[in-house]
Amino acid sequence: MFIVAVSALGFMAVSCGRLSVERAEALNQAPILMPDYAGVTVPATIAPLNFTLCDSFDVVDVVVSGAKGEPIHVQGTSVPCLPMDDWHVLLSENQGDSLSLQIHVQRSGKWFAFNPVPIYVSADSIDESVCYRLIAPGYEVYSKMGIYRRTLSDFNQTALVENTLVPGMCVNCHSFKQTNPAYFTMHVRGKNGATLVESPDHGMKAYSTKTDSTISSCVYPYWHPSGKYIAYSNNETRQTFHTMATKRIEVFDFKSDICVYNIATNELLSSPLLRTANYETFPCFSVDGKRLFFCVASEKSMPNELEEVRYNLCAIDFDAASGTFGSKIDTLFQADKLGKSVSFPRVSYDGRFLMFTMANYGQFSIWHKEADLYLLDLETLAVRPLDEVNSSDTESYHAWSSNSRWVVFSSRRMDGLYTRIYIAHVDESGKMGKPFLLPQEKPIEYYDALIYSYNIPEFCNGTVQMDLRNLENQLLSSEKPSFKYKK
Amino acid sequence: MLHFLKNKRIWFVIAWAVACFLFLQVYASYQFFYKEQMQLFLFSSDYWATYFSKPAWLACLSGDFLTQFFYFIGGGAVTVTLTLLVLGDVAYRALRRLLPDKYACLLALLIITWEALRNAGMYYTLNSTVALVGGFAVSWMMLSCRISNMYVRGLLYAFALLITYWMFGYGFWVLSILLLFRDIKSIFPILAIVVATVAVPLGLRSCYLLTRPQAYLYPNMQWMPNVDMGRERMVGLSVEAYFGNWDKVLKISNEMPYKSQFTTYFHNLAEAKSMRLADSLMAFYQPLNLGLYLQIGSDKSVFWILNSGEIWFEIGDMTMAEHSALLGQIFSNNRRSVRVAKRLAEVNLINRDTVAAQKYLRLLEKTWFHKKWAALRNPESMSKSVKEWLERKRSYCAKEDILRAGDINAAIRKLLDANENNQMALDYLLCNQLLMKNIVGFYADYAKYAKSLYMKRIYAEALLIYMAGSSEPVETTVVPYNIPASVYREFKDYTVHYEKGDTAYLKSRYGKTYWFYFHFAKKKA
Repeated sequence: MFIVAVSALGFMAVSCGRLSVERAEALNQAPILMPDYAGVTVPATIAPLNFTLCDSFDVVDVVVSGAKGEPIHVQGTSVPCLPMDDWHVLLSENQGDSLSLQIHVQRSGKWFAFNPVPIYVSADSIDESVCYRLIAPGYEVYSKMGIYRRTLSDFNQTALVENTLVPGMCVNCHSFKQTNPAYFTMHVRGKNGATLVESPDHGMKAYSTKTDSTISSCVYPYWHPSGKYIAYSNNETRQTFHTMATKRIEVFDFKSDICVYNIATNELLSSPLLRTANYETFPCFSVDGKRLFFCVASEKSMPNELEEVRYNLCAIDFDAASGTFGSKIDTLFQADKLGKSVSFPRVSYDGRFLMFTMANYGQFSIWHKEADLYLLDLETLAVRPLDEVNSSDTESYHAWSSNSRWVVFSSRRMDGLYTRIYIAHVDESGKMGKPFLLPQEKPIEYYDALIYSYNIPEFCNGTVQMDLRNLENQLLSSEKPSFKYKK
Repeated sequence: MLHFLKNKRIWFVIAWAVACFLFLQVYASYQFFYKEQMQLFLFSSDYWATYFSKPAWLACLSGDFLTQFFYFIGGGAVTVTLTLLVLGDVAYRALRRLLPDKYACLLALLIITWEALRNAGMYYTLNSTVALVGGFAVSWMMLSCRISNMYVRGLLYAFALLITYWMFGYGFWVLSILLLFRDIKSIFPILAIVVATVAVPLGLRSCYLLTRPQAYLYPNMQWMPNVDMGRERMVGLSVEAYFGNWDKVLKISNEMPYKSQFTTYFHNLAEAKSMRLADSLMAFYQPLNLGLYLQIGSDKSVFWILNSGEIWFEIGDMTMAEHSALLGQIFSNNRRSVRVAKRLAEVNLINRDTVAAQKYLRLLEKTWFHKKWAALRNPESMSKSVKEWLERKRSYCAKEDILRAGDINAAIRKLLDANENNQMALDYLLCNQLLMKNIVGFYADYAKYAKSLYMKRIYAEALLIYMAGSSEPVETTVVPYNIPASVYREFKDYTVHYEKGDTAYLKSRYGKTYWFYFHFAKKKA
């Protein structure tokens, strides 16, 4: 190890007032990075993985090097930010290979060398940005602050919509069609509440989605791959609180159904099989649009029997040409037999996998510490827990990248209270790389000061062209068109 | 020095400043404390960068910085008075460029007096005053410039309006109006001023995500003064409770001429803190049981929501205490609040969620005036008194989980199951039953949790009502419950007169008893 430390000195010439790392003693241990970027797999276009060191030192010396390209060398009394341009060049030149992070620290004038830490640079590309809501933790049903877009190649976060745009407005669930921001739907709550639907053919329109034939307004959305339909759940949702603080809050449905919105005809379509006394929710179309996956649980006396409510993963056929549903429901994964409950099914866009969250009960896994991510192989119907990415705290909402090689998910592993965004690589066989926390310029300071949770992260493949004035005018309009229910 | 003191204007300014200070101290001192508690000014570059997401970044940054000093006794009145003096000075200097001296002086005086009145309002922020300071300061500079070419002047005005809007938000109106007065006869500069005044907020509002009125008026939230001594006292209840001065809470609530649900809530809480809730319950205005808990709803103010958590925190229900605090955070200015951060740190420390608690403690460590508080509670350097307090608070928490589903009493019973010595929770449970006139429920809870060891006059009165309705003779049940003989005698007297319908006698003799409440208290339509 001493040899490694000494060899690293070869390119550590004293320059620009930088101290020379000489006669470093090998510590024979890996550095503890905050955030933990050791061994993560990243896309070549990711922003610099700035970090701090969980160790005391007077001076720290960091060298990031790869098989190709110029190494990045920074030094300081705290870990300096990695230079953006050099970082991108280095990653670009080492796609499909790995980088080595060599860290030396100086204490009382003596240098110490940590073991080098690898960072794997995937050859698989990733979408341009991630969109998410920032919300106060624990109150995911109401009080949305806004929807934000974060570019993955740098640290820029821009607000797409904030609740200051319209008085009393709360921004709720949003969804793109397979990461394409040209197709967008979003709920807005409050006295000017509406559901926005935007597509290239249809433009942007704000609707009232409650009909006489549905139990509630439309809630959880999912776009049909054709862009002609959106599946929604209708949920009569309540929240309640535990007496002990470990779980804090429960969100549950008294009733829930599923319907599919035909954008061209402004009609909600459904099937008696999707509108039973049981709780149907979290719709998700297959990649070819011929199947509709969803979760369903048997009806219980709520909230007294909440802990008995367990959702299974089911599917029904859907014919996009006629807007009709199949005559039977297939159960793909019977979680209730395992004493578990499925939520948030999401199909990879290559059609191979379906990822879902599984908790002990209920549909709102966000406050369930035991909630983990699972992967269903749609060819073999085999299900496995994603141990590569799961933690001892909550893993919850997740979304696939447009090429199905990356997954973004929210996890509460950082402090147990606030959900943060993690991104993990997925290979063709469904094996996941070690996930990495969404990089920030000063990650520890940033996340420490951030008193919002990230919610509903989705990859976004392009710029979101949101006409805010049109949005504002439509929301403030007293005459919003209503969805119609096709009987 | 002597020459300085001979200037009558200086004496007038001093007199105005003293009057302003006294006015603010009397009518808004508690509201200043509250404003300080509802912001969290951090000394971090990331935090300061957030000010650029809205117009008036300099006004808001400076205003929030100055608001920190409201932390001190008299700090609010002093800070606002000094800021108003600066406003008066720059306003006078700017106006003097356009008006005769005495009119400039008079107008500046009117402006700062108006601002003093506005600052006495609960939701008016110092940011708005600083925005005006900035507007007048830029106006003073611009009015001092002499540019003969009207095209250059017009373009400079437009640029100045843009920059002023960016830095001082609605303070740019001051610049716009004064420049219009100055160049009233020059067409191009006027055109430039009007176009810039209309177009700058309108053009930038999409970037700042503001409504049209917000875009033109940011950061001002209130035009008219709203001086209200009743509200000042209400805020006083909350602030004194936050400081732990429960005797002052009692004093304020007793002195308030108008008793509201909110007043009763804090009065009951203060009495409960000294284990006197049951003793004093009937002596104070009770709007049925609404004075025991503050219900949260979408129609409630942030002030109401924030204070609703006090009772839960005191009796040991940390989930609801956290719920109120988080909702308070959501609706507070910039969604950050010292008071909320402290409460969330405390709640998480009590819940042994150290990682979450440290997050809030680290935030507080980045402030000037609350870092000491945070340091004393940091698990690594926690003081002995905090450790003892923590253990005491932890002993009150529920040890068995249920979903409360709207049943307050069920959740409190879980607290009593965890700690039978939680007398405050017991009093709230029993008093809630009594105020709801649920005598059967009261008896069941009393029999289970209080037994005969814990006797208060009001409980004795309620037990007698229960026993009078039961099949067993009252005399046989009085002794086991240690009901004082004097209370039993009075109950018999009350019953005799009640059956006679002698309401006047009952009111004069028993108006403050539970019996009278039980028979005559009605929900107002």
